[in-house]
Amino acid sequence: MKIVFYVAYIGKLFLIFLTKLGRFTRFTWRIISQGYHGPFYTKIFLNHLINIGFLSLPVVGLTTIFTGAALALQIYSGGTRFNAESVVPSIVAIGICRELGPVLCGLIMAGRVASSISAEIGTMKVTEQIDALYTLNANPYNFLIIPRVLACFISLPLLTLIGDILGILGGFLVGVSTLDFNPTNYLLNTVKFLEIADINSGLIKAAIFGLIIGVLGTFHGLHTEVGAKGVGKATINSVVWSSISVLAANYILTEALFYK
Amino acid sequence: MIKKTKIEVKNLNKTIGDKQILSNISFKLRPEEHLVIIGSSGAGKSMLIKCLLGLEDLSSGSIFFENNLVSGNEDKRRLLNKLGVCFQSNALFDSYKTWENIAFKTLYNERSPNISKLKKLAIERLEEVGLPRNIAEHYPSELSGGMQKRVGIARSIFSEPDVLIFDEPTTGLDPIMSKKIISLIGKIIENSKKTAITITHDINLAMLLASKIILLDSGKIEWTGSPTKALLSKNKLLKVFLNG
Repeated sequence: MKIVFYVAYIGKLFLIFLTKLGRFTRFTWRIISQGYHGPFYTKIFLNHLINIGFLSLPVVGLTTIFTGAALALQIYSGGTRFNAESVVPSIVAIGICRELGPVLCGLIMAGRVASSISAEIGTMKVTEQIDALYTLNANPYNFLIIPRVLACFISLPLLTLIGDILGILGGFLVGVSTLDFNPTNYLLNTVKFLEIADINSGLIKAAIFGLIIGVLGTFHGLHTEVGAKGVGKATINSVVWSSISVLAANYILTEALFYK
Repeated sequence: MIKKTKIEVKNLNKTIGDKQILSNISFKLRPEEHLVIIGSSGAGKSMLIKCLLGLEDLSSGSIFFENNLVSGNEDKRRLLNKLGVCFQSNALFDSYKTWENIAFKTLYNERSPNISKLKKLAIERLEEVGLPRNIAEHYPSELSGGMQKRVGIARSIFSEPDVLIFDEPTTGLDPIMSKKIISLIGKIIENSKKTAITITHDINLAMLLASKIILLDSGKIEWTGSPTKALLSKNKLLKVFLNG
């Protein structure tokens, strides 16, 4: 009897998983098809670009500058063990551009943006505003979803690029002020070993993270269950799933981009 | 001359999972008629309206608008263009100003809308529902519940739709405001000669405004008729509603 119970339980979980997967696939397909058919609300998209991208600059900037600074200290202290202190500038630059810049931006945006998107759309759902949009002949996918997803997709690489520069700057400031590096040598070493491919790979990652955050944030918002509790649950789910997906996608993309 | 049927619902059924939410709902609504659907909570009133608006798919049955079957998305879109809906929770968009909420349908569906003309029209609608013009620039959160309800009504009549739908228009309002809203709806319907559907559990509203009443119970039509017939009816549930 106990075995039957466990099998039934696993079956039930599997059915729930399939239902959610089906819902997500349908949602993603509707984004593509509605995006293709239009209309596209340019003004709304630009507003989201400012809200999602520009207003995230302070938090992204502060995070990357401190991370760059801490990274320089860590590499220096590790490097002294085998007399490799001179690699600090190049490793800070490569580490920030390839890995830390996009991942940190992705995680910050998962917390800041995915939560706000899902809470906003979720509240609209429970207060019948989504229904109202349908009755006013404004498709919620074109009006709410696509501008937000696109804004995430575009703003994340831009934020990452700025984050990369600030992260390297953080390393430079610590290198020069605390670790006694010559400023000119530090910059020369940074530029010498940093390749365009390092920057590009980080930006490609960031664009995909943006897509993940936008899609998951809007998906959880649009599928909010009834009431304030439902909005809270949707917000938590959007942050948790966006963060996990960003980290998982980071591994997959790293393998695809660097281990051919 | 026999007037064309405005809206016809035929054998509408709605099932969610194993639960039958609506069963075998049929009614006809002629131009300028005002149908009031009453029923207790969970009777299926809101689901019926959602089905009518195309927000929920029908399990079976059909809906006709001006004798044409509403089936595909394009038909639904065409139907929605001819409906004005006032939601129970008002459903005003928080991040848009009052006048933008009222003019929303035209503002976001036209390629290059004439903003000043739309704003002027929205202000006219505001005044029609008894609100001062200076609130046009306010956001919905800055308005009282009664004002928000009026803005919701103003939005529903903005594009001069053929059919007006009011979902629980007096819910959450104090008795004085409820009376004002009922009289406002009555005035709008009378002046515009529109067909209207109102969902409510407020029997006073039904008796005052309806030309036809449908009493829903557990997803089925329990009773249907005019307000005069309602007073003479021996239906037990209807009597409960009438006697408060």
